[in-house]
Amino acid sequence: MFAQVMSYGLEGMDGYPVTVEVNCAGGVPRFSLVGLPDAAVKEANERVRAAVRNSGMRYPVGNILVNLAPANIKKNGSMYDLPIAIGILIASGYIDAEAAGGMLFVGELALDGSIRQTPGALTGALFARERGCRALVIPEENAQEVRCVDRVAIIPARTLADVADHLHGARRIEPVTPVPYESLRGASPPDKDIRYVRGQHEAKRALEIAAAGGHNLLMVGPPGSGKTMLAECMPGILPDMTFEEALESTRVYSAAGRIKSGESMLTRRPFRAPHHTASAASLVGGGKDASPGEISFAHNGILFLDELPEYDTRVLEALRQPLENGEVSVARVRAQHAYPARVMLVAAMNPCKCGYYGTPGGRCACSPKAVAAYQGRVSGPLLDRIDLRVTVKPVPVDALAGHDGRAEESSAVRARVNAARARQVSRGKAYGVHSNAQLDGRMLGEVCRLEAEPQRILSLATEKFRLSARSHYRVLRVARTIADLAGEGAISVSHVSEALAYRLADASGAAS
Amino acid sequence: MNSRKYTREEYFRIWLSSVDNVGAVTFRRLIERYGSAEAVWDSFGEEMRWAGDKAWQSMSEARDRDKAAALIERIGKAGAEAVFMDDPGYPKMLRALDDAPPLLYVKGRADLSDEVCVSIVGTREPSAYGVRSASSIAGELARSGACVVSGFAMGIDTAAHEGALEAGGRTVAVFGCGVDVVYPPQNGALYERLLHSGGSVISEYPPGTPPLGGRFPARNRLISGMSRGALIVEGRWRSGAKITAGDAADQGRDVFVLPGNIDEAMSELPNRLARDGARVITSAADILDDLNLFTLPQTPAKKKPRGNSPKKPVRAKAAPGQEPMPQTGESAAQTAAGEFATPDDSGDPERAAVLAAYRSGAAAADDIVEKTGIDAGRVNTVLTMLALEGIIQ
Repeated sequence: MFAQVMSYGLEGMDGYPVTVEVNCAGGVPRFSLVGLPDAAVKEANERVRAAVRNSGMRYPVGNILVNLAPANIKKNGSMYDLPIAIGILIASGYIDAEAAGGMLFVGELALDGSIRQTPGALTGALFARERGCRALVIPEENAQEVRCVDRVAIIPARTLADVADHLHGARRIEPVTPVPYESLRGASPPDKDIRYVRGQHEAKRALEIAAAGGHNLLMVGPPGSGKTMLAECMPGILPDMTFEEALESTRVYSAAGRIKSGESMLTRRPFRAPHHTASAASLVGGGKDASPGEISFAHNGILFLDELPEYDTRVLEALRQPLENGEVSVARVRAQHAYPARVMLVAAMNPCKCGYYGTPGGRCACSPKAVAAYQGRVSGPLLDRIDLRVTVKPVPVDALAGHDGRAEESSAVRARVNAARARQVSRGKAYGVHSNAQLDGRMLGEVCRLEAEPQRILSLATEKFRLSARSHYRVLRVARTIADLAGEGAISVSHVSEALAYRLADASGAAS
Repeated sequence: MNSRKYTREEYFRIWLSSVDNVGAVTFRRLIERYGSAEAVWDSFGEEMRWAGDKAWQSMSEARDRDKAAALIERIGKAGAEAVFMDDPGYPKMLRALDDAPPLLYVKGRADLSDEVCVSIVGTREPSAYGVRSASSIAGELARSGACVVSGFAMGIDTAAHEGALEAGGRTVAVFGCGVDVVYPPQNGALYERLLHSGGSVISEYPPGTPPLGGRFPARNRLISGMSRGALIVEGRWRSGAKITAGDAADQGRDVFVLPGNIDEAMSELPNRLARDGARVITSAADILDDLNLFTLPQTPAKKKPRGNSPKKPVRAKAAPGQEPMPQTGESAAQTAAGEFATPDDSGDPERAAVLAAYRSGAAAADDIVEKTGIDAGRVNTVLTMLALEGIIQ
């Protein structure tokens, strides 16, 4: 008998239809699997046989041929175990073909017949919804991940026997009830609250501006001055993630199988901090299957690069194009995929090799040449993509001990950031941008038009501090964000001059 | 830009001064003995070994028409000009030194006969206070008509040159390498600006000489040597600035120091020099006072002198057509007041508070926030405005 079961494959972040065709014929017992399966798919044979038998069902005897169509695309992973098993059960007459019509199946089988988690469930759910499928059967462990996807019936299955019962109509499995995204959000407070950062007023302010406008940020300061701690507070003050953003980010994790059992979709902006020994492939994506890199895992969130000059120069250069486009195209021998990569780059560095250049007390033992060489490791084009720069100084020990009554909680800062971001989103609609950091030269001319006095100040500064045209644009973008934080429509003199401070504050920082 | 034609003897002097191991003293002795540099070339032989084996060896290697011609060509290509000790344009103060270089290579203005030169030197890793003071004192000196001499290094030297240029005054950079070798390279923009604003770049080494560590201490003697006095702004005890201070003292020049905060490593040199007897100064007026310079020729592009009668007698020695201007005492102090007093014409209390905190030593925005309780955004706004207006650095 012949049977057809629908499933899907993962191509980067997108799904494509895969039809599992099963033919059972009499003759010498034999199992063959075609359609470019990889090793994990091939081994489905053994798992499926054990799972079917251990679920109390009969495994047909004879020549079983399984084809994964389209036959010219490589299939990876163990996600086809369930559709193959269902196909065999239909082909052997155990399940009615009608019952499985219009349904998608995905899942790995354990030998006892239970169904294990699989990567890409969210991709599958969106794929099923887009295709108008009747239902999608997924492992129950993936149910949390797809809880917010509505307009498609998602059936969480624990065992193969449950699926069979469901298809027989003997015992229906209740589809996942879609919950609104908002109800997931805010369940867990951020780990680090900015309230606990002592001093560092200027850096905190820069963090707030960066968060509000989505600007890339560079912190320069000696070891132990709190750069890493400040960066870790960033997620807590970032604007709330919209449902669309959450969906996009979760898809990256889902496709890469990075969502743990029972985990829901992302509700907080991701914070990724790859170590400075990271390779270009791990940062921007690559490997034999062209899998996503850290910059894609940080999509809609923060990519934190601590000790920026310690990263391999080639690795940093590889970041330039995705930082510019908000997307990364990973091409490898076996695949070429595009992944989203719209991140806020937060970088931290020491001002010199020993770390104490510019610190009072003359602890720095580096020669000026060595300082320049250290700072020169970060290329100009990369620095050009960083709107905000701030010098972080160590906080004196006595200031650490006292109680800082004025310090704000992350939630208070986040409220301002949210309000500022809302203004940017409504303004950016006409241009298709979500934040001030995305404004290019043409848009800046329109949304950041300066009145006479602020313009005069900016021209004066451009001349006096010899700012480049690029710097000029960055100052404008940051000034726009500062005005948004203040809730003001027009950019005023004080907004421009504050923005200038973050261009000029790098006397001991990297050269601009 | 240099159309100067050299005499035959001058060509030979250029050659002789460029020979390794022939310093200013050996050069002088050779000329004294043989009468001219050309004679040195012509009569070179075993007999000349009295000048020292190393010098003799170098001379025999350098005595090559092609090499000498290449040297002359390099000077022209670099746009440099040689100024000889006998030229009227040679720095006056320098001429009196035992080891005055027989000639100087100059880029920019070739007339180095400035009436008053004051040198300002210091560390390459200055504090904000050091940069601010070096720049404002250099500006004051330049406005008073003095020429500010420094070594073009990062930090204090750069601040001094910039301060003088900012004030529209004259400044001379003394290089330890060829005048066409911009070192440190980060100062490329300053180099251009200096040359285009009537400043000079000078060196005793021929164009093309690379920046090597050994030459910089020797260069320091020229900085102090051509100046009436040397101001040491910040530095460690063992540093180039200390060498300059020592040279200045040996050459009979006044050594001035700007007092520093005792917690700062960079205050060590000026504070210790002060203990050893250097003059502590707090403004350009102090320096001019100590040098007994009551009047200096006025530089153009300067605001009108005030009509008040000067407290000190004016020893008028002004150039024709220029009004003498009392520079010490009152009017310098007045300009200084413009720089240092609290300008609360804006009537903005935040601005006044930030400025007061800045003045009392809180250089970083965070310190000012701590002191004043004004939020960081506002503090940065005010600081930028103050920097734009030139009130702070």
